[in-house]
Formats: sequence, structure tokens, C-alpha cells
Amino acid sequence: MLRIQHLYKSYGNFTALNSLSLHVEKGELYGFVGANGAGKTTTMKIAAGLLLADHGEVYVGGIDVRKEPKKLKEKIGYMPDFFGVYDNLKAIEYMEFYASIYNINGKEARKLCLELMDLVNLQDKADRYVDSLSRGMKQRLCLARCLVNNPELLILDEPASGLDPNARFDMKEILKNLCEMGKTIIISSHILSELAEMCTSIGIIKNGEMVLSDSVEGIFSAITMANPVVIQVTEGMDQAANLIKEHPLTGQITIKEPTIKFEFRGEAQDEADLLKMLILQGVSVNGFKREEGNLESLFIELTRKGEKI
Amino acid sequence: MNKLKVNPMLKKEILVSVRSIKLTVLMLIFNIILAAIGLLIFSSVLETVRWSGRLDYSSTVSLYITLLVIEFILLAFIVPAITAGTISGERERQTLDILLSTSLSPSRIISGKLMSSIISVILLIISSMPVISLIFIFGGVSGGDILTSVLFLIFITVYAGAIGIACSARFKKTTTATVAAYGSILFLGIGTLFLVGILCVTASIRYPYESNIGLFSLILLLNPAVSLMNLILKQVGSASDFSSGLQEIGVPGFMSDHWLIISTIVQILFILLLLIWSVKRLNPVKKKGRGNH
Repeated sequence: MLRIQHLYKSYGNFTALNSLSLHVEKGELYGFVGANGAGKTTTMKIAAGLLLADHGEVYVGGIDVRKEPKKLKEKIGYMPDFFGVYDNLKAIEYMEFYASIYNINGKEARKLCLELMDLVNLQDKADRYVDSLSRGMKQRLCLARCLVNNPELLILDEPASGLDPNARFDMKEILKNLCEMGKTIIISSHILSELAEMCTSIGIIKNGEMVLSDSVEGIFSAITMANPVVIQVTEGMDQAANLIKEHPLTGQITIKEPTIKFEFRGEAQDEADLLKMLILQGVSVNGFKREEGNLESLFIELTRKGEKI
Repeated sequence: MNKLKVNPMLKKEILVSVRSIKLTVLMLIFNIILAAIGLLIFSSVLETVRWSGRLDYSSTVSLYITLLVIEFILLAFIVPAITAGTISGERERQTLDILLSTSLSPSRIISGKLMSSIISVILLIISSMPVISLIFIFGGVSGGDILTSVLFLIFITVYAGAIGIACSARFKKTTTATVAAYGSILFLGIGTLFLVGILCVTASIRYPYESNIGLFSLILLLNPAVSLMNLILKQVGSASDFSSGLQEIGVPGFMSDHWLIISTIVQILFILLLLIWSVKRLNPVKKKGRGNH
């Protein structure tokens, strides 16, 4: 549905995107993660036809974003990270204005807009002025607005930013429903735990480059493998430390008696072999496990790599 | 039968503006100023009649001219204020990206914004009709003359509106866009006259009694105030004075005789250029954009 290849974008001397590539399949809910200034908004704006890339290709449903902007806009719904509303416009009128852009007018527009407002739980707010709605309601209204043209791809830039936990939960449920309805969604967020719960795939961007892009399952498997192994030794501390240091799959090692924490690049079988070897060499081990990790720890590890902390 | 397609932006802008108190307040102030000046001149005409016992028709013409000039000046102040915030306001409100991500083309955004501003100003002009009608008490000016003048004022509104929208598309902040729009309109209305005046004085210093500045004089083709002056002088029967005045500063004879038509065509072309430029400026995939990263 969305294919981005070797995308470059710079603002003066600052390189916002550096050969960024990204693939989102139809029906996926793709979480786009990155620190502030990593290039998420730039990527999303380019995909929405709001910004021109210096180099690279962007296709939405097979449409070249640069060559066919009109067709692109029929296929997408875009929600920016910050947006305002019009004064003196009721929620239903706000929706109908956007419906009329797609030549949906009159009773047909009213019916569609009410249905979409129902979808985002705003059916009872149709006659309220938009500027009197809470932030969460405005966000949901904007999401409903994105759906007036029945887009195939929803590009949502931080749709849950600034929302309270209840509003975030509502937003998450709505997005899950939309995904179940067959919409393809690309969403950027800083709330990684929420992305992990609802997304089917996740991409992590750093300094305009995609450092990791995989299915949620794949990423969690990578997270586990990236975490250190922690063993607790009751006897034979020095011997255990030497054996671990000499192991070819071992990386950085930290000793804090009675615990040894070390990076280990092996699979589950390699872990079992290491444990067996320690025991056979007479080390008394009463604890052996990989430290539990989460998306946050992976994100921090990936985005801080090479940086001076 | 196909339904008439109304520009969604125009529809929305009208809906928003009629709900706002701004237009009503503007209309009130506009008419108070116009009526105050109109009634002042009217009472002075009546005073003259009372003292002299006869009506001088040239004073009724001066009432007409004054009202038109005042209306022109008021429009020159009001139109940039209305139009200079149209695009920059969307940008400041952070609604422009949403609009541009939809099927609404930049040309429809610009035309919708311009049309809604023009409609507001047409309302102002129409609302001023009772004051303008003061002229009919004495006669001397035909309904056709007034209609032509009103149409020309609407044209000037479009002209000033196009300048306001171009400034709004160019500058991110409404304040900057408004200042730029006022600056541009002042330059076109007064600056060009001042420039031509300086060139004429310079020419006369070099060659006494000579104020011919050649083709530089054609800069006045862009000046809507000069066109309005030409229209009024035509209506009061002094077009030949205007034409000879233009010829003195170097405007070719054919052009000075048909100044109103030629200047209107030039101004229409300038309006089109401004609007095309504004559309291009707004089109995100035709310019190197700046954005958050």
C-alpha cells in the first residue's frame, strides 16, 4: 500500500531524511517511531503529498506521489500532529465541509458524516461548535474527517499526543476497529507501549534513516535477543567470569557479585549450552535468564547507538 | 440536471463570516464614515442654496466624486485587512496542511478565499447605496454612472483582494502579510504617482517646461486610483484634460485616449499573474517546501 524507497530530504544543511525506505502492506497498522527531529513528520508529509522529497520514490497504492498528486489525495486521509479548527463552525458542518470537497453533498453528506461521527463516538456532539470540543474530541473529529473520502491509507502523525489516558484508550480502540475494517494505517507516536499493543508492524527511524522495520513479533524477538543474560553464581565466580569472557558469542560483561550480566548473541540453544558448560566446569549457578526487555529499551538502545551520553 | 457546484471553500467561508460579528461591525463603521462625510457635504450644499438662493450643480458633482473617493479609500483599507489573513490565517491555525492533503486544489482554495472576500466587500458597497443615493436628491449624475462606478469599485476590490491573497500566500504570519499588502497597495496607489512626479520634476530640471518621462509614465497603468480618476472625469465630461495631462508626461496619444480600457486590461492581467503565483506558492509539490521534521 505504501512503498517508500531511498527517500532524501534536507533543509539547508540539515539532512532530515537519508535514504529512508519503508514498506507498509495493505491492511497493516504500521507504527512509526523516532525521537523528535528524526524525520517522522517529514516522511509523513511527503507521503501525504504535502512536501517534495529531494530524491527517492514514494508510491501509495501504486500511485507515484510526485506524479499523480490528485489521485493520491483520493486515496489518503491525513491527520497532522498539530491542527486547528475553524471558529463558528459546528462539528457536523466541519465534517460536511470536508465531505463537499469530495463532491458528497446534501442528505448523502449528512448521513455519511453522522455515521463517521458515530464511529468515533461523537454522534451526540454533531451540533456543538468545534472550538468548544475537548482536545480528545477534536482529535477524534479530525480522524472522522480523514475518513470522509473512504481512504485506503490513513497517515496519522501523533494522533494521541496530548490526550489523557481515557482519550488515548478510545483512540487506540478506534484505530484497531479501522484496521479491522481493512484500512491501512501508518501512525507515529512516542507512546511505544501503545504502539506495541495495537500495531502489526513497527519501524524505528533515527536521523532520517530506518534503523529497524519489522513485524511486532519480529521486533519483540529481536528485543529479547538484544537483552543481556544475567546469571547468579553461588560458587566459582572467577571461573564463571573467565568462561563467559572466553565464549565467542559474549560481548560486554559486568560483574557485580553474586551477579554476572553480559551481552550474549546466541540463540536459546546456545544459552542452554553455556549453562551446561558452566555447571560441568564446577560453577554453582542458581539463576540464569535473559533480562526482560520492551520496545522502549530497544528504542533507546537503537536511537542512542553512536551518541555520546 | 447537474447540480450547481459551489466551491466548498467559498461555502464554508461565507458560513463562517456571516456568523462572525466582524462583518456587521465593519459594515457599520464603513457606513458611519461614508454617511458622516456625505451628510456633511450635503448640508454644506443646502447651506449654500439657503444663502445664495440657487443650486450649483457642480457642488452635487463634487458630492458624488467625494463619496466615490472616500469609498475607494475605505476599500483600500478594508480589503487588505480581509484578504491578507486568508491563507496565512489557515497556516497559523494549522488547518492549511489538512486542506492541502484533500482533493481541494490550491486554485480552488485561492478562488474560494478571493470570492468570499469579494462577496463581503460587495455587501459593504451595496450597504452604502443609501448614502450614495444622496446624489439623486439634486440630480446631475445618472444611475448608469453610479452603476459603472460601483462595478469599478468591485473591480478594485478584486485587484486589492488579489494583492492581499498573494501577500498572504507569500508570508507565514498574518501581520507581515497585512503590512506587505498595505505597502503594495500604497505603492500602487500613491507610490507610482510619487515616482512619476519625481521623474517629471527631474526631467523639468534638465529641460525647463519639459515633463516628458517617456515610457516610465506607463507605470501608472497599474494604478487603480488613476483609472478611477479617469472614470470619474469621463463621467463629468473632463476626459480630455486627463488625456492631455497624460500625454504631457509621455503617455502615447492612443493610450491616453483609451486609458481606462487599457489600464483595466493591464490590471486584469496583473490580477491573473498574482493569482497564478499564489496558487503556485500554495501548491506543495511544485515548490520546495519547509516543514517540521
